[in-house]
Amino acid sequence: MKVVIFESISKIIITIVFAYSMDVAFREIWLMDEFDRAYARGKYIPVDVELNLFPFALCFFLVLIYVVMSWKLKPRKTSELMMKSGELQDSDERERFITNRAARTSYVVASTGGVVAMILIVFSTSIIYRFPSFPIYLIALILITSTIAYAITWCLEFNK
Amino acid sequence: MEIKNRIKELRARSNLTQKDLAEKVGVTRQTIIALEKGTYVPSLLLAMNIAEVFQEPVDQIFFKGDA
Repeated sequence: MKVVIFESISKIIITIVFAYSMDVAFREIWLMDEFDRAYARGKYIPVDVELNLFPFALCFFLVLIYVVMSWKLKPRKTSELMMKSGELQDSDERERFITNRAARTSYVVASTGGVVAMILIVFSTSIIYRFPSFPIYLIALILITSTIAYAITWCLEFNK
Repeated sequence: MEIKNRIKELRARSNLTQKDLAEKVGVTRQTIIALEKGTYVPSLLLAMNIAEVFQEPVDQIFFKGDA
């Protein structure tokens, strides 16, 4: 169970940092796009565009720590390390059964979240205008809620 | 109607710990705990492996009972 909790929390943290990295990149692209359009209309607006690499570096560093700790918590074959997500536990038939149920819950939450997100985007034009990166965080929220749903279901089933 | 079992009784009779039994049948200790509590119904293969350890027929270890 501690592996599932560690993997889920790590995934949530990395998702948040990655979403922020994408937000930083998107804001710079938005700015560059405005500059190009202004320049095409014959206006020259001096825009100093710099991409802050710190969030990306932080994300990379967190992923490195996660990979090392994940391997230490549950050493596995190299092929599994690459292909298998750590929270999908299947060391015996009961864990496979629990993982099955938790994955189903996660699937339902992600599906529902996706539909809700689409509806939210339709009614959020003013939010998107003020916070253009809103959809990035919305997608991150879907991933996070489905991960939380997975972890909670897994732990509840495990402790039955 | 649920599936009940005599795993705890047979394990005590055989002087096996939960960990020993888990290792013999290839599952985790938590699975043995869940089996003894009655919150998990084993697959046919696992039931047969357990029966082999205790040298008893499967239907003498697992049986239907009222909830």
